[in-house]
Amino acid sequence: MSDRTVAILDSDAFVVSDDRGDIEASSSTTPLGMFTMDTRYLSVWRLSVNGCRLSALSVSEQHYFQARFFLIPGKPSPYVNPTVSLIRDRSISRSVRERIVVFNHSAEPVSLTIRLDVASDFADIFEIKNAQQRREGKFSAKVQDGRLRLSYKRDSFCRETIVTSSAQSDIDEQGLTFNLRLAPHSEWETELNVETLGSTGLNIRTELQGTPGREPPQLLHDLQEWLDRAPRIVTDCDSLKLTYGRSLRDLAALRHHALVSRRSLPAAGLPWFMTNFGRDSIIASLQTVPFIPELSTATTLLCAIGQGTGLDDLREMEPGKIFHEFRFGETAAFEEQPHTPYYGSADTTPLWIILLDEYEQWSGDVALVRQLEGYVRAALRWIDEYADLLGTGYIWYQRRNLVNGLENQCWKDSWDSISYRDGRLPGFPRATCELQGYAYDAKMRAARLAREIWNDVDFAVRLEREALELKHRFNRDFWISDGDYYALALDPDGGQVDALSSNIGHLLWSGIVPEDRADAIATHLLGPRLFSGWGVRTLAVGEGRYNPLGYHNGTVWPCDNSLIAWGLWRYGFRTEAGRITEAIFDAARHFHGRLPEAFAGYDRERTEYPVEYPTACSPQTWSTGAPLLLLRVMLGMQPYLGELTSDPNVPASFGRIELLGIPGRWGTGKAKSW
Amino acid sequence: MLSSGINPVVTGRGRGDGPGRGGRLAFGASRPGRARNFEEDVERPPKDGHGGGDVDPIEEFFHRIAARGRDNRLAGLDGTLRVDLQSTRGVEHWLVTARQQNIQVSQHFSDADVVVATNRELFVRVVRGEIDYLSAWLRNEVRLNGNFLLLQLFRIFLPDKVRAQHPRDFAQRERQP
Repeated sequence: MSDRTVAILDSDAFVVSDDRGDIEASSSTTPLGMFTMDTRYLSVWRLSVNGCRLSALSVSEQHYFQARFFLIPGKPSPYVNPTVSLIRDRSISRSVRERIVVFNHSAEPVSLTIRLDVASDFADIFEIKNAQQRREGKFSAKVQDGRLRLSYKRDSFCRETIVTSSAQSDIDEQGLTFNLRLAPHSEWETELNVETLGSTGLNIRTELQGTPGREPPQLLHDLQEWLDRAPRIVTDCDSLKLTYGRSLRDLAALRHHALVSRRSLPAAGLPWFMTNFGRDSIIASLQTVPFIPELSTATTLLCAIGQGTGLDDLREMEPGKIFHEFRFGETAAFEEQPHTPYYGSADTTPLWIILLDEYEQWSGDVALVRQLEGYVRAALRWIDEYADLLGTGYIWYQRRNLVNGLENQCWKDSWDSISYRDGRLPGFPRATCELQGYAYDAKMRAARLAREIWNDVDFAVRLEREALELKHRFNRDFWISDGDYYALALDPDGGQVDALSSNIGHLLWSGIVPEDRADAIATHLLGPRLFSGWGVRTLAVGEGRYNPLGYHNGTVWPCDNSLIAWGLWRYGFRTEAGRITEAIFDAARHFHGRLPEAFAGYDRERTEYPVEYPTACSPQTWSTGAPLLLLRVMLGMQPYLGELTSDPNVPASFGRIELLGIPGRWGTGKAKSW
Repeated sequence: MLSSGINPVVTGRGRGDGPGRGGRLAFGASRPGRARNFEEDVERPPKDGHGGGDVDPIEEFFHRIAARGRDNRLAGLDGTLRVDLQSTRGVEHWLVTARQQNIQVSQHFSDADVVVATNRELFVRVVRGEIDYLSAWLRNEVRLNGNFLLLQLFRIFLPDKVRAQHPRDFAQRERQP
């Protein structure tokens, strides 16, 4: 086999196998398996013919929820024509279905023993991610009524996998065996069904979401409708067309239906983050407001519904705070992880306010803004009271969950992402710069909502005053005068954490940068230390912790770049935004239109292609949303006085672009590059 | 189930902090270093209970919801939530109704948009801030059925977790040598 993996998914349910369709969970660092709701329901799913493993001739991923594998027993050898071949047709929706077809291509009858080994470790995705073994419950495997029933039970928590076959089989506790005699030039088939049950014996999605999800024909129909609703792009630029189409399909695949049926919001990414993520869902919604506003409707509402109500140290919850992550597996159930939900992010709350305002500007959904007024006020209060840990007028973070809380509660949430130039790590609490930008923007935008929709002018005036004070304070405390850029963060003593990072690009997006400092920021972003040729690096070359393969210390994130380009647009740096846009679309071509979470920060001239980051999520929602935001930036699309306006500045390499059917308060509009 | 002296139907009085005005209450001057509860300015039943006995924590919780009367976070969330609590004495029901942000609480059994079912003992620990109801749900110790959006009708009134710290207090303590 090759190292290639094949993934199909439907929201929180997904199967990752090798290119033969087999799953052997122990053999790979990639979490192979069949997963639903954060639990691995199949860890072994291995097909053989007469004791011989199979080889893939080709694999076709027809839709995001379907794949087809063409296989032969043994290894292909020159001058020997295979006389037996197989097709595995797999789909995932309410259950996993797999049709296995066996062909006898010879003129002689053949006797074949088809064996499918099946097992489940019912691992929680966090056990796999953190390479922990933690098995408190009891496993069992039983053959019952012609079905293989694998179970895991811990107190009243239970997960079960039920495997059935349409064709007669001999079932034992480790799998299914089919003894066949195939006539010359004939074929045989069976349909396997894998059901995933929860503690009440119902389908796990029915138990936790109220609905088992849709069947493949409905999924296909929904996908077509989804694509039809999205704006249509007219362009001769193949990479743009490819990436745009792929993004729309992946966004459809990544929609998450947890907790509240009929509403979906973007989950974060396959495989680690197929769940409700505050930050990722909010950013992806921001990126896609002009294209798929329905994601924003769901995200704003569901984030409000999960808003923090009181204090909880394990979950790092505070009143008014927007959550970070919701999980449904065993570790969440038994509070070995804090994810029901976990609130350990300092940016989701202001970002959520920003999204609500952006969404209203496009959609005119005044009713939602009125409905969420109480939540927005609580969120603003969180910024002032619960986030300002040192009483200095900034958003700070410091984890109270010392067991498994996140140390860095900003988008760069790996442990070593916030450092001084010399590589030292600051103490806690920390106030990263982009958090202050978001707080500024959130207050300015909330002021608009207060003035125009809640009719509370006093509140609007107060918010604007507070925002301006923050801007003044921020420009005094964060500006590094000997470097002409903003510090990555403040340390607990108010000292500047002085590494040069991509975070300064977010400040442009927020508008907290005075006009006379914007030029210096743009110069840094497109300068050789930050710009790799494929995009802006998370950390500049020359910093103590710079590493082109450092997750947040040197890699290039398409999402980060899309926000930076948006910021450059805001300050009129259209050429600079265009350079980033070209770079990211060039990179996308190398990934067949599907941008991964991150790629390496090597100089473009050195590698000539974007080098993959080893464990990047793909597809990943906010990478998938990045091309859409970049398209918006190129075309200069912006709602103004209730109308869609467009001020294009498209790099020549893209040629002509026209975007038709842009939804908004104007009905549908269009934008073009000329 | 109710202590003597409490009317089984409790109607919220309404404090008039509807949309556009709630901000004045919510945005008092921040007070560093002190934990604050959202509901601290809400009248609560006296600690020493009614008729001399200890106040039942579940009654106290639902009375606090009723006393709240109105909450602008319930905008657009008209509907009903029923809590079914099993104990050796049978099943006890609490019905919370929201209409245009006004809240009513009763002990009538009625169909509801969302139903929370568990044992009384566990729910006592939920309303005391000792147990997280969603973790308990994932453990299958609490059943939730219906429109989950309406869980807001009790979720937003849950207290702080026991021993939870205000992040400012925590940061201050951590900084002390």
